[in-house]
Amino acid sequence: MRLQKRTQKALRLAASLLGAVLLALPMAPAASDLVLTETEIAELLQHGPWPMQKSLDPSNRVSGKPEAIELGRTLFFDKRLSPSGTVSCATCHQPEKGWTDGLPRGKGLAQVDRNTQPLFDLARQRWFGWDGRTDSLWAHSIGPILDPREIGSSAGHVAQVIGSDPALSDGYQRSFGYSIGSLSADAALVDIGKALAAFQETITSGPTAFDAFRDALARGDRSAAANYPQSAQRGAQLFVGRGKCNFCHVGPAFTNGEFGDIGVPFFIERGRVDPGRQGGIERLKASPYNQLGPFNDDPAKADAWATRHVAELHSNFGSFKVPTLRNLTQTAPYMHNGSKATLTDVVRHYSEIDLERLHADGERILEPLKLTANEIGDLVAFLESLSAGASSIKPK
Amino acid sequence: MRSLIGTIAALCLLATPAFADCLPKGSGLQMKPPPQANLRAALATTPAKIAVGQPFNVEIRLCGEDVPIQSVAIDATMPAHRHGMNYTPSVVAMGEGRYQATGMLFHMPGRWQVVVDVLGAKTPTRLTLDMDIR
Repeated sequence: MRLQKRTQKALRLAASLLGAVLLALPMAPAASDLVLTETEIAELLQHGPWPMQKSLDPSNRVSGKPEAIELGRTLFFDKRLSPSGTVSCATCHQPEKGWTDGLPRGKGLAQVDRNTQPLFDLARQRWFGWDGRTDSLWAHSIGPILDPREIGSSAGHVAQVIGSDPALSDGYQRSFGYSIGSLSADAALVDIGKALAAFQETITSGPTAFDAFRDALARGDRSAAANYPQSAQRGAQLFVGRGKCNFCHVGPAFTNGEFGDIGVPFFIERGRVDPGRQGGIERLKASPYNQLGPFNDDPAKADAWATRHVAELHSNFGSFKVPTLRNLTQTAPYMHNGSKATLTDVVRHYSEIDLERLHADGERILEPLKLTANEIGDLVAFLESLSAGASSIKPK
Repeated sequence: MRSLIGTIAALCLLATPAFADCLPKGSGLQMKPPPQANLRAALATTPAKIAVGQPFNVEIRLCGEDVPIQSVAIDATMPAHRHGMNYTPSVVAMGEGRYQATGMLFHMPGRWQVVVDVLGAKTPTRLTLDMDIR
C-alpha cells in the first residue's frame, strides 16, 4: 500500500516535470499562425522570387567583363580621381552603410541637394537618380565625377591619373583593348563610366526573411511560412491592402521603376525648389550620354525606347523615383531629401499624408491611412523583414 | 415553328453588319467601337502577358472603315486614378490594316483603359478596351 502511494507520488512528480519542460520548449509555429487570406498571399507572391535574373547591359560593351569589373572596382575607391585627392565614389557610397553615407543629403566636396541612393541591385534599371536624369548606369556614373560638389574632377584629370599609373593603364588596356592615350579624354571618360558601371552591376542584395516566407507560400509550405512573425504578416496585409503600397512598390524589387509625388516638400532651401522628374527629363534629353546618343554600344539601341517615348507631364514636377524597399534598415535616412530619419517616420508620413501638398492632377491613390500605433509597428516590421543585413549586400 | 426560328435567325444575320466580324481570327482583344461606327479594332500585345512596370508593344488590327485611314494613335489611362502613362507611344503603319505601337508601359496594377483614335476622311473614331493588369 505504501509502495503504491510512493509510485503514485513519483508519477505525479514526473508528470509535473514533463509539463514544465514542455512549457519551456519554444512552440513550433502551426500553419494556423498564418493570418493572411488567399488574395493577400497571391499579391505577396508577386514580390519574388529573389534574386532576379539580370542580363548584361547591351549599351555597355564591357558589362560583365571581368577586367572592366576589376578596373571599375579600383577606380570606385580611388580618391585620386578627385583633383583634391579627398573624394572618391566610396565617400558617399560606403559599403558598410548599404552603399550610402547615412546623411540626409550627400556630401562630397560640398553638400548636394538630395539623399544618397544605395548602389545594390542596379543592373538593368530603366532610370537612375532620384529624378531619372540618366537612362544607363554608365551614364549615371559620369555625373558625380564632373559635379563640382561631388568628385569635382574633369575628363582630362581622370585620363591623366589613369595614364600615369601603370596598373590602371594596364587595366584600361585589358578592359577596352586600346590604351587610354589613344583617344580623347572625353571619350575615355565614357569608358571610365562603363567600367564603373560594370563594377556596380555586381553589387547585389541577398534573400531576406520575407523571401523565405514568400518562397514557403509559393511551394505551399504553410508551416514554414508561419515562421514569419505575425506582426510582419499584419504589416504585409496593410502593404497589399489598405495601404495600397504595392501600387508603386511593385514586384520582387518593390519598385515599378517610375516616379511619384508623395507629398514630400520639394523646397531645398528658401527660394530654391527641386523640380524632381521634370528637371531629370530636361537633363536626360540634353545629355550626349543618353541611350539615343553615339556612346550607346548597342547597334539596336534596344533600351533607348524609354528616352524616345518619355512623356513631359505637368505631374513630373516634384515627382521622384520610387525607391526599392529592399534593405531599408541599411539605408536611412529616407525620402529624396533624407527628411525621414526612421522607418516609423516614413510610415507616419503615409498615415498622416497632407493631400494639400500633392499635385492637383496627381495620383488619386494616396490618402491619410490613419494607422494605429500597432499598425505602424506592423508595417515597420514588414519593411524590416525586407532587409538581410549589410553583409548580404556585396559585389559578386 | 421551325420556319419562325429560321426567319428570326435570318433577321438577326441581316441586322449584323458585315464589318462586325471583319477582323481575322487571332487578331487579339476586340476593342469597343462607338455606336454606329463601322470601324473595328483588335489589340495583341507583346509580350502577351503585360507586367506592371515593364514595356510592351501592341499590334493594332483595323477593318471595316471604307475610307483611307490617315492616322492611328494609341494611349492609355487609369480612370480611377486619373492618370495616364508616363510615356507617349508611337504608331507605325505596317500595311493591310496592321499598325505597330511601341512605347507602352503600365506603371501600376489595376484597370487601364486603352484608347485608339483612328482618323479617316471623316471625323475621328475612338475605340476603347479595358484591361485589368495585375
